[in-house]
Formats: sequence, C-alpha cells, structure tokens
Amino acid sequence: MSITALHATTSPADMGERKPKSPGFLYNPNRVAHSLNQLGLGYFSPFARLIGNDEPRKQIRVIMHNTLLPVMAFVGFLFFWALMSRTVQTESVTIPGPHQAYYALTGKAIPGLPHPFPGNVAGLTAPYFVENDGRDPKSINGFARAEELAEENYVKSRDERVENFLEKSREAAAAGDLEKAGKYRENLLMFASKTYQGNKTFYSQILISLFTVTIGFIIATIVAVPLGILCGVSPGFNIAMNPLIQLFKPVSPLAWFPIVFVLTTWGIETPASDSIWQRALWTSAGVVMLCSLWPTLINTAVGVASVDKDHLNVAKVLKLSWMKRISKIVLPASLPMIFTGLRLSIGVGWMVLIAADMMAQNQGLGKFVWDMYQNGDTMSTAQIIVAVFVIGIVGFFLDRIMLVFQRLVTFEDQAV
Amino acid sequence: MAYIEINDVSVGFGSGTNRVEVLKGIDLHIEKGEFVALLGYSGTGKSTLMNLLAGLILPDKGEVLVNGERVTGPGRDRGLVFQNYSLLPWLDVYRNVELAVNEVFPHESKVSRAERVKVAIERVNLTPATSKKPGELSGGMRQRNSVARTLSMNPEILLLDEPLSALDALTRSVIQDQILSIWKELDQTTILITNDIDEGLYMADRIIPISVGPPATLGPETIVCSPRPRDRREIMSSPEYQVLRTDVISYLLAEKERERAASSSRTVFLPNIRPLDISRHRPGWFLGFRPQPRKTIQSA
Repeated sequence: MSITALHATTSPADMGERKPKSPGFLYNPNRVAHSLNQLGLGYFSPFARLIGNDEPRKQIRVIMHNTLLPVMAFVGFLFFWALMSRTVQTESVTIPGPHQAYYALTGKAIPGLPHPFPGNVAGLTAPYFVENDGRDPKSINGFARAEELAEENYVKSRDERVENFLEKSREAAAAGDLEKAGKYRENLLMFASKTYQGNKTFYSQILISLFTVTIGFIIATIVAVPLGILCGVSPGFNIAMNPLIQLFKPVSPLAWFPIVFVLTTWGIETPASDSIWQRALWTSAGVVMLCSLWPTLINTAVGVASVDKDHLNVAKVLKLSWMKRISKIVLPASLPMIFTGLRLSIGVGWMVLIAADMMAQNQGLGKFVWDMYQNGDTMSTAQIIVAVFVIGIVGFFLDRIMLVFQRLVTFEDQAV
Repeated sequence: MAYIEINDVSVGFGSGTNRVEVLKGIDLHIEKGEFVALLGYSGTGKSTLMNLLAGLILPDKGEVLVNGERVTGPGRDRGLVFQNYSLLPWLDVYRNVELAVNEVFPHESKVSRAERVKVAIERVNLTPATSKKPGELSGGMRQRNSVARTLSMNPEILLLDEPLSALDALTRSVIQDQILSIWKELDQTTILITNDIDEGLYMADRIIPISVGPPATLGPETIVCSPRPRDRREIMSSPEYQVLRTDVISYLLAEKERERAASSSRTVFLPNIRPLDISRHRPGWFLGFRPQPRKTIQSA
C-alpha cells in the first residue's frame, strides 16, 4: 500500500471539510506524530505537525502550553533550590545551589557570577587543561581527565618497571646467576599482570552502572517470566508461591546485600583484576535482580491467568499440545502485561542499583555518590547533586526504552 | 443410526443450591450432509449445546455420538466457528489460518500447507486482506477469517455458533450466501445456531427451536423443503415460507408467554420500608469531611 493511500485511510473525516494542500507524499505529519507518540515522545508531535503545516496555529498553542508550564515549574524549583542553598549551612558543608552544581558538572562558572569554588579548577566533564594553571594534574579536583591521567601514569610506570626487570633478568642470565634471573622473572610477571585499581572516570562509572543494571535485569527476567507463567497456568503452583512472593517482595535491597555478598563470595572465583566481571558487579547485579524480579513475576502471572477464554477455546478446538498452547496462545496474549512488568522492573532495578553499588563498592554511580559523600565538602556535595540529575535522566531513558518495547508488543485491538 | 446423535443429554452448571440445569433431556438426530438450524432466544443454552457437540464440555447425563463414536473432547472432525470470532489479535489473517493448518496437517509439506491456507482464505474472499491483523478488519471480515480458519481444518461437521449475530443485516446476507455456497461445495454436515428466523429459514433444511429455559428442551422441528439454490426474494414472498415463519414464531412467542407466566406466578414481598429523604438526613463523617445537607425549599 502506498503512502498516499495510507494517508487517505487514516484521516477520512478530514477529507470533507479541509482538503490537505498536498497528500504529504514524503512527509506525512500524521504518521510522524503518531510514531513520536508511540516512542513516548509525544511532546514533539506538535512540532512534527507544525513542520508539516498541519493546523499551525493550533500546534503553536499546544507547544506553548506544553512548554511554558513545565519551564515555569522548573524555574520555580531552581529558585527554591537556590534559596535552600543559602539557608542550609553546616560548619563543613553548604547545600550547593544551582550555580555550584553547574560548576561541578562543567568546570565553568555561570558567566557573570563569581567563581563558586576558589582553588578548584575542574568539573566532572571538563578536560582538566581548560583552566589548568600549571599545577600537577593529580592535585586537581577534576574527574573526567584527572582519572584518565592517573591511569595513564600508572600504566606508564608499570611498563617501565617491567622493562627494568626484563633487562635485569637478562643481565643476570648472561652473568650465569640463574636463581637471580628467575626471581627477576617472577617480579616481572607479577607487575605485568597488574592493572590500575583507582577510581574510574564519571563517564565510565555511568557505563558500569548501566552494565550492572542490565545484567541484573536480564537475570531477573530469566527467573521471573518462567516462574510467572507457571504461576499463571497452575493455580496450585500460584497458591504455593504466593506466600514467598508476598514475603520477599517488600524487602529492601540493603537487607538483601549481605546475603548476596556471601553468595557471590562463595560461588564466584576471584576474577582477574582487569576483568569486568568483578565480584562487586555480581553482588550489585544480584541485589538488583532480587528486588526487580517481583513486578515482572506478578504481572506475568496475572497476564497469563487472564488470557481471554475464547483464545484458550481456540487452543482446545485445535487440540494444541501444552507447549504449543503456551508458546502460540498464552505467551503472545500476555506479552503486553509481561512488558508492563518489565518496565516496572527496570525502574525498580535502577533505583535499587545505586544503593547496591554503594554497599558492594561496585564501580558505578552508587560508589561515586558514596565516595563524594565521604569527601564531605561542598564541592563533593555539588557533584552528588550532578549525579542525582544523571541518575534521574538515565532512569527516564531506561523507562522510555521499555515503553517503546511495551507499545511494540501491544496489539491494537485487544478486544478482538 | 444417524450421523450425529444426541441422546437424552442434560447439562447443568454450578453445584449445590447454585446449580442451574441448562439443558434437559435433549434428543437430536442429524443426518450426514444436513444443514440444521437451532433457533432460540439468547441465554437459553444454545451455545451450551454447541459446546457439547464441539466437545468443549461434556454432558452430565446422556451421550453425544458422532459417526457412532462417543464425543469425549474436541476433535478435528468438528470445526467450530465462534460467536465472537476468537481470532488471535497478534496474528494476521494468513497466520490465523496457518495456525490451524499446521496443527491439523503437520505431516504435509510446507507447500501444500501454504496452499491449504490460500484456498481457505480465497474461499471466503479475504485474499486482498491476507496480511491484515484482526484489529484492522471489519466485523464481517473477521468472521470470514474465522470461517476460513475452521474450513482450513477440513472438518466433516461445521458448527456455526451464532456466527452472524454481531453483523449488520447487509453484511449478514452476503456471508450467509458465502456459507451456503461453501456448504454446497464441500458437502459438510452443518449445524447453525441463530436467533434470526429468516436466517434459519433461508439457510437450513430443518429448523429446531429451543424452548425458554432453564432447563431448555428442544421444540417441534420445522422442515424447510424449498428447493436449492434458494432465491432470497422468491422464497420470502412464497406462501409456504410465511406459513413456516408463522409456525416457528408462534411457538417461540408461546414459549415466552409460558415462561413469563411461570415467573410472574411467584409473588415477591417487598420489605415494609419508607424511602429516605436525603435532604433531611445528615450523613456522618466521610473521609474526614462532613457533608453538609443540601439546602431545600422546605428547610429554608
């Protein structure tokens, strides 16, 4: 079916009263707006219609309405925040205001305002040399670049040592002292296998957090969906599982942590120091899994249990086997509910992850927040505020991604 | 012995004091290749009878025999077309039919199975909509899709459970003709459940009304002997048609009267209470609010 024909079928009511200037052969504002809505970016659909010249006055009114109110609320929040930062002051820490937070992020003062942290020169995302006054980079309280430099320096000095030992062992071997040469070799191998163990940069901490939550979420899904299907299919199994589900669902991640910690210590061999599969990561992912599995489990069970009776009758009439009944009828019919559960789960998982990272000392955003809290000065608190915003934004995008999946599996007319 | 036999079948739902007998003492014999219509008011157990034939439920008493064998569950020799289509909304027209074909003919080659799907869709004139999902189809198209799914199983008996009741009159007559031509071509024994007398008279060889239950029983059958193919306008104006129609209608109306008389003979005692005057009544606290009485002319 061509684009024009589709357009004609989507808006038959418009045809009579308002003839579109052109059928929108290449750019159909209706379809673009619809896709944006499907992607959870409904805010932008009036813009898409405006570009397509579809009732421009109305679109501008909608845009103003949708933009002005949130902007006003946000400005109000900024004022309140700035006011708080002037009021709440302890001996060592002041609540940092928007200005300080902006500085902590970018390493630049807002033009026209005084430098908020005299003595510090870099922000989380700023390259250290922006305002480098020639001091040793290690003394600079900047993250993005300073951590990278620290790692580079470490690798450089390690390689120098390895070279040194190699030379010494060769010399010793040439001199005929094999025992000494062997010792040098041992040292050489020990240094060669070592990797940088210091803090990661802020960027890589975000990535590690995302990686950890993904691992936890995948394990949770693998556990929860089959269990949920069993619960939905078999009332007996459901009754048996119900007390356990009700009991463990409200448990805090902080309570799970010690148990998961013991489990990972017992079950996972000490990985190589440069491996990404550190024990802390498994512990963190395990806690995420234990807390985020319940919404998926419950939604899957409800979705499977409430499959339309007519659809099950189809399975009966066709004499489908148990496996086929599940795979061809029950699972597709309950996919919308399962994905609603997955969306809730990833929200819970991301929220829990920060606490889990803090406890497990996994190199993610939680550890960043914890380290900055231990620093305990205003600059560090400002960096925590930046982290709070980052956590919120990442969580928002995770939710939107799951929303897209959720809409993809939801069939249009459920009541067929 | 008839092809399909229902011998003294009774079915009820619930247990103890909640038990309702839906069907009682049903006897029905249907010959091979016959087109039988079961006619009755809604809620009288027509669908229950159909589910019995399909094997979705089993009788509490009596037996259902098909080809001399007792029905103990659903079978592929009996194709059921559901009242509410029961299409799978996540599959398109083709795949809805394919699901049935793959189940019933698992040993055939892919090509011949695809051919079966195509033929079934073509038979109900849905070929242009092959790749559409149920949500994009009209009611009539959905029902044709459902018929195609059932036909693709190549059943010997076609069970149509009010297949057309949700459709408008015009679409209905089109699909009636389609079903008739398929029936003529494939020579399947067909049982149609309907609440439309004209539909029954136009399509069936025999019409069997169902009494108003519960428990429902079968009424006196009416044999329609107009020759086929039937012309809608012609038979509707024929005097025999009017006689048959009047017969069936008077039976159904008499049934309704009887049922009404039976239910109105029960006297219901109303409790001796007076309606409450809300304007004078002052309700108590509700969620922390105390609703104020409405000001009325009397209180002012």
